[in-house]
Amino acid sequence: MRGLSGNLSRVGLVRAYSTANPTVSSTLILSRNPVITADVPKFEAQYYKYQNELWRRLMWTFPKWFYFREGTLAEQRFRQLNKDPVADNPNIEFPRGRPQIRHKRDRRFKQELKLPKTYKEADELEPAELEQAQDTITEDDLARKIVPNSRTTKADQENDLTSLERKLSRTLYLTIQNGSTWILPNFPEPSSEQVTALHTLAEEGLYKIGGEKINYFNVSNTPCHVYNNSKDNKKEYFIKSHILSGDFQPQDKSMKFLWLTKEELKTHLDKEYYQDIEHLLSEI
Amino acid sequence: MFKTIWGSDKAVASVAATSKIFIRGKQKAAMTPSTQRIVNQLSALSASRKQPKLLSLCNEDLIKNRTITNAWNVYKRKLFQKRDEQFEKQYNSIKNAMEDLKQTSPELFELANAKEQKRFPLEMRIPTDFPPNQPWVYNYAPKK
Repeated sequence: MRGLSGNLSRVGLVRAYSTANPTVSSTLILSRNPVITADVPKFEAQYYKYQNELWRRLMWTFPKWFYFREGTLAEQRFRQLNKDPVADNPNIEFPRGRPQIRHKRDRRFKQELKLPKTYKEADELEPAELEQAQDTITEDDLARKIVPNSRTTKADQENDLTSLERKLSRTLYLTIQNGSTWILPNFPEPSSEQVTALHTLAEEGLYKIGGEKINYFNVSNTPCHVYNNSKDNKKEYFIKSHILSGDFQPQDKSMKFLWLTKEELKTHLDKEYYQDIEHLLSEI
Repeated sequence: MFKTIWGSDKAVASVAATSKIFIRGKQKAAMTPSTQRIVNQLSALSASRKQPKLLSLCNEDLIKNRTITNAWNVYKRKLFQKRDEQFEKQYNSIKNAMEDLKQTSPELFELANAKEQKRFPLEMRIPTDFPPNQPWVYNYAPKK
């Protein structure tokens, strides 16, 4: 083991001596931030459910008289939906303990309230009504039931890796194909006398390969990482930025690109390269 | 006092008229609407007869509760540790990169450190529980 590592370092030394200064280059970590909140892991979901149930059990009784004035229609609707609990009758045996009713709530349990709805659920409708309801539902009807959009998109179902609409709950990173390997877009410093700042280099390079219809936010002009690419004798400085809108449209038709999550990058990128930049990528 | 009550015939007549009205039950002082409103508000805030029964867990449930809480603490601690390690690595890699850049190319180092007014982009979105109707905005035109 020791001999091997010694050999490797000697190889590195020889390379460093044999060649001139390594070329400076700028690598862009272009990320699409999550559009929706992160998926809750199973354990967290269970814990939150448990805490929520405890909290509901220890909640005070709902002061109905404060929110619904007696004798009003609203109060009547509320009463129809929320039936009174079984009263404590001294002549009856209760095998599971006597009810303790205060303000029409059994204080041994959590209070479950139903609020009047402006629409009918699908299972409450008659078949004839159902067809009618589907026809009459309009986008701007305020009384309609609000159905949130699905967390999985069309791009997820088709497994379209080039789409910006895939895996909305994760951070995606732009990767491009370089020969047979996948890399993060890398732009070498032009060999002219005048130097270009690393972030401008990354910006110009991105526009050159992906078109100018990209709205992006560069967090900092300072590099966040350096990778010594001994193979190409390159020093890669990493610049982080976020894509906000627009689309990456490859200017060269033959160029392939993908939007990948951290786990997918692990399988696509070179192993050594990935291990070097792993900590720069977001888990979420 | 005496004088004021029996002072005039009018007053006597009115007292006699009111005493004839019989009211069943305990008499309550009439409240003005504003007072009634305040009483209502206070009744919503007060704890009287609104508190649930105290939780009395048996030993087994207590142990279960303690186990769940411990598991949660361990889980959270691991997450935080992982996050802190990542932050430290990121900090070290920034420091390393900047020192390297200073050695390799002082001009680029100067350019990277040049002060610039940056504005936080208004287009940046806060993640929501469900996606918007149009998950991504494609029609962006760069400023001329």
